[in-house]
Parts: sequence; structure tokens; C-alpha cells
Amino acid sequence: MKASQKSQAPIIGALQLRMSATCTEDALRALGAEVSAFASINPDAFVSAVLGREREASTALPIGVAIPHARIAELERIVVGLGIAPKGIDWSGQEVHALFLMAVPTSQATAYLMLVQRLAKLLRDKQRLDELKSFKDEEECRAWLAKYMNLALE
Amino acid sequence: MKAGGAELKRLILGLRLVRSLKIDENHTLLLWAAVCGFLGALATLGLKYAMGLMLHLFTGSSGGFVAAFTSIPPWQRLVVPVIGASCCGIILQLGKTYSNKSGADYMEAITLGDGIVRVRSTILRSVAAMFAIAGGESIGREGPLVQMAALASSAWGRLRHLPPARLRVMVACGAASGLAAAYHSPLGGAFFVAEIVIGSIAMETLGPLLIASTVSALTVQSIEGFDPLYLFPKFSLSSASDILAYAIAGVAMGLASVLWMKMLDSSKPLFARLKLPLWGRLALGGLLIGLLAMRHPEVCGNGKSLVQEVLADNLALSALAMMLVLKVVATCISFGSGAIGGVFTPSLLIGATLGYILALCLNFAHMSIVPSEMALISMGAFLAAAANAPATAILMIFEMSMQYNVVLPLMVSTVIAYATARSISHKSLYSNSIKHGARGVLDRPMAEIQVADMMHKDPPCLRPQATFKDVAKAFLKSPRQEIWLRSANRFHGCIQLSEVGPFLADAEFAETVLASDIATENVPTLSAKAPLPDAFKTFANSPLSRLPVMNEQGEMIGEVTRADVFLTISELTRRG
Repeated sequence: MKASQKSQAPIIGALQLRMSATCTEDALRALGAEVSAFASINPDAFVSAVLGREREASTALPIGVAIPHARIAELERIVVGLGIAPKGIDWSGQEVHALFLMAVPTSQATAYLMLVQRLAKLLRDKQRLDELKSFKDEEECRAWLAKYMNLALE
Repeated sequence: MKAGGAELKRLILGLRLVRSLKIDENHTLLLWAAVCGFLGALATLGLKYAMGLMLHLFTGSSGGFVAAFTSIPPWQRLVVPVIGASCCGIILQLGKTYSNKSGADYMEAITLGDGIVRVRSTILRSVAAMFAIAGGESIGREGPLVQMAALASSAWGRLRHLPPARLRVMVACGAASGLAAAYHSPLGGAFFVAEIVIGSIAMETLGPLLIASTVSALTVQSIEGFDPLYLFPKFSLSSASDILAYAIAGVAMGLASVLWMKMLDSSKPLFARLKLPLWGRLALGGLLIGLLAMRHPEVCGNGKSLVQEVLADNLALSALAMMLVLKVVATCISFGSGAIGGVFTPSLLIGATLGYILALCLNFAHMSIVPSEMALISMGAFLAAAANAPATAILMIFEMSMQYNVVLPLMVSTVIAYATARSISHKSLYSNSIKHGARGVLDRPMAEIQVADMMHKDPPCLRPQATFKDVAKAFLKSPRQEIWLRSANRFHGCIQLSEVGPFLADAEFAETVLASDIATENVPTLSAKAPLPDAFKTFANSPLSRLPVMNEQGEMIGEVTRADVFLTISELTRRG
């Protein structure tokens, strides 16, 4: 068993501020390809693991944000991809406008929980959620994520 | 939803408390010790009242054995012990016929067995003891009282599916609580079990014993009051010459205790030579006690009221000498014929009487010493030598009399008595119980003890699909470091409190998280058939406080804790 939880800060591996996908699978494949490339993992295996997890229980929050993820043994730090879908994505019957796709090392339950709770707390503030959904510029979005989410810039 | 949120908040508050207090296995052991203390006190009081009722049935009085037997006519003093002893014998005989499992004495269950005190045989023996003791046998009721308290704790531990090493601690706690309740001596009760039965006064074992005896004392205090067992007028401060006298008493009590144990030991073969069935031997013993009681009813019972008489200076030398001889003979008859009971209180009486007589002799030789004070100190010295337990004797006499001035002379006298007796013989009143007992798991060689022997069945588990709120609730329900994930006996890993603990308070913000998302998957497992050394090696390489146990099909069937493995190894090492 690994001595877990010596976590490195999660990093942003992909940003898609104008996603055109309207269904869960398309959205995950589009964002998943970039996250996989950044994390150097197999994209098909990653996306199918995320879809499998979604089939167990949806990760969509009532505020229109989804936090899909899959656990990857060989990773060392959490890689996050942010997708904004202005038209909305049908996420198991719920309309989602922002998704945070995560590739999570199996040894980093603490870092994962910390990130998920921080996201949920922050985005329940409607002003912050609207700010996030309105970004057009990647640099501004990265700066916002660094300020409020303490996500490292790459 | 709101109500559920409020419930969760309450649960989380409790969990924070559990985490901030760093509650672990050893702390829960203290909690179970407290439960054992409570159960042990209730069992002891229950049996004590039942014995009182039985005494009332036999004699029409329940004020004390000597008073009750003095109040009845001589013919009845002859008949009652015969009836009581015969009933005791018949019950024991029937018990042997209908139960093939030997009932472990609490000392055996702690020292040699695996913590199992058999329900049926203990109850049978307790009922038999009630007949013998209420029938006037010269024997202590403390043995059955403590056995009953140990049974209550053993039953409680078995209900909780505790493994042998831990169950033994529970039985020890029950015995300590029984002694605390019977002698009104919480410190002495805990030390008795630690020093005499376990053979160690290390804090790991003494801690639970002290908690159990404290709770027991509090329970007794709230039900029937908790006065010192023996009322004693003010004990004077000892001078150097007094200490010399107490040192002489120490030597005398050490020698006398060896003689006393030899007499007790030889009484059983004397009765065995008669080749009578058990009930016949007991009936004969009852007849002899009855014959003595016709003229001297004070031989009946454990001798507690006589100790009080000696300490209160109420007896003349001739009466004391007569009582000493009669009580020694009567106790040897009761013990030798096989009556169920203890020799603890009779031993206290012999020590007190001998001490009183010795003080009169010393006064004759111009050594000024108060006889009743010498009786109290000699009682402790005799007990220390006979029971092989000086620390217990000091604490018990101190608690029984509630006089601080006894401590200095007691320390001198008990240690000298103990050293004198041990230089002649290594036997003690309890060495038979401790050396010849039921053989249990812990009596096997280390390599033959398997993981299954230490396993807890049905540990708390969650499904991998459980929500994070379920995880928070599970950690609160059972304060532990790991919760297993299992579906249909298939093991999926564990959730560690150290990893998720800080986030449990905000569980509602992790509503998308499932147990499988935060599980530690690569957990070492133990085979149920793996020997103890393998379990030890696996724990040595794992930071977890418990590990899952698998059957041959790879299904999870239980768990083993690190504490139990280490406790078992330390016990095996102690036994050599």
C-alpha cells in the first residue's frame, strides 16, 4: 500500500470555455481527450472509467455543475479539465453548464475531497457561478481559478 | 431533508468529539471495562441477595451467619448443614451428568483459558454454592460472587464477539468488579486480579481493571451504600518499637500461612480416601460441621462477623484460641469435602486471630502493642503470604479499615510475611486454580494459533456505492480508524479516518462523492487459516489498525485488530 496523501496541488490540464457538446458522453470525450493528453494517460480508458462512474451515480449538482472523475493508479497529482457549455449539457436529465472533469490518483482521497468540497461551497454562491460561466478569456479564467480554487496554473 | 441535515450535524459533532479525543481500541476497552464493572456489581449483589434469602429459608434469619445459626436450636444446627451440603452435592453431581463441558473458574478463564466462563456450569455451581454457604459451611461466599461477576462479563464479551485475548481482559474486569463489590474494596479488587491472577500490574491491564472496579463500587454505593467492610476504632501512629513487633508478626504470619495451606491441601485427600460419591462426601462434611455447630454456632459461615469481633476487642484469650482451632478444623472440613466457596475470608479471620494472640504474647514479653491493631495488620500479612499478593493485601486492608495509619506497619509486615512464606513454599491459595485449568486458544503454541482465533465477525462495512453521508455516519457509529467496503462478501478496500476525517463535518458539500471514490484499494488481507506469526508480519508492514480476514474462497468474513494480535503475542510470551 502506498503511503498516500502526500499530495501535490491539483493542476488545470484543460480549459474549454465554449463547449458545443450537448450530451454527457460527447462532452466527456471532448474534454477527456485534452485531460488525458496532459496527464499522459489512455483517453479511451479514462473516458470509459468516467462514464462507468457516472452510471453508478450522477455527479451533477443541482446548481448546474457536474464533477465527473475517474481514479487512475499511475497518476501523481490530480489533473482537472474545466468545460463551460453555454447551451447546456443534458446530464442524466439535468442541465449542466459547467463541468470539472478530474483524473484522480488512487492515493489522493484527501486532495480529491478537499477539491470537491471547495468547488461545491464556492459555486453555491450564485455570483461566483455566474462569473465562472461568463468567462470568454482563458487567462482570466485561469486567474479566477487560481484565486478562488487555489488550482495551480500550468 | 432538513431533519436529515440536523441529524447529520449531530452525528458530525459527535464524530468531531471522537476524533479530537483520539478515541481508539484501547479507549473502547475502557468503556467495555466500565460495562463489565456495572454488570459485575449487579451479578454480585443479585447472588448476595439470593444467598440471604436462602439463609432466611434455612434459619428464619438473615442477619449474618453466626447470628442466624445462634438463633436456631441445636438440633436444627445439626440438620441444616447436612441438608445444605447434600443439596450442594446433588446439584454438582447432576451438573456433571448433564454437562460434559467443564466450567472454567474465572481464574482459569483469565490465565489459561480463552476468556470463556461457561454459563450453565457457573450457574449450577453458584446455586450449589448457595446451598452449601446458606447451610452454614465454614467457607466464603466471595468465590461464587466473583465467579458470577466474571460470568456476566464473559457473556457480555461473547455477545460483542470479542477475540480470546480481549475476552480475557473482560473476564478479569468482571472478577475485579466482583471483588470490589464483595469486599467494598475497588483498589484491592483491581490489584487482586492484576497481581494474583494476571501476574502483572502493568498499566495496560491495570487500567481497565481499575475502571471496572470503580464503576462496580459506584453501583454498589448507589444500591446499598459503601461503608468500610470492618469498622475499626482509630489506629494509632506506629513507633519504631511497634514496627519491630509488626516485623515479628510478619515472620509469624508467613510461617502460619504455609501451615494453613498445607492443612487445606491435605484435607481433600482425606475425604477422597473415603471413596464416597461427591454428594456423600459433602453430606458427611455437612454432618461434621453440624456436630461442631451444635455447641459452637460460630463455626458457621465465612467468619466475617468474627473478624469484626476480634477487631473490636470483644473476645477473651480462651474464646479466641477455641475459635481459632474450631474455625481451622471447620474450614478444612468444608474445603476438603468439596463445598463450593472461597477461603479468603476464613483466611482473614485466621490471620486476625493469630495476630491478636501474638500481640497478647508480645505484651507478656513487655512489648507494648495494641492487640486489635496487631490483629488488623496480621490479617493483611497472613493474606499477603497465603495469596502471594503483598500489594493487594496492603490495599485491601487499607480500604477495609479506611485508616491511613495502617499503611506503614502493613507494608513492613506483609512484605516480611510474603518473603518468609515464599522462602519455604511457592504455593499459594490460588496456585491450583492458576496452574490447572481448561486449556484454551492461548494455551496453544504460537504457530498453531490462527487468524480465525482472533477474528471479530461482522465488522462494520459499507457498500462501495454508499454516499459520503453514509461514510460519516458509519465512522460515528463505530469509533475506529478504518471502515471496510464490501459487497456480497467481496472486499473492495477501506476508507481511512485519517484521510477523510477533516471533511466529514461538511459532508453535505461532498454529495457527489461515493465511498468507492475515496477508498484505499490496495489493503493487505489475512487468510483465516494464517498462523499468528504471519499476521504479526503483515501488521508490521501496514499502517492500518485492523486488517480484513478472508476465507478460502477469497470472501471477507471478518477482521483482526492490531491490538488483538499484539495482546495475544504478549500473553503467549508471558506464559512462556
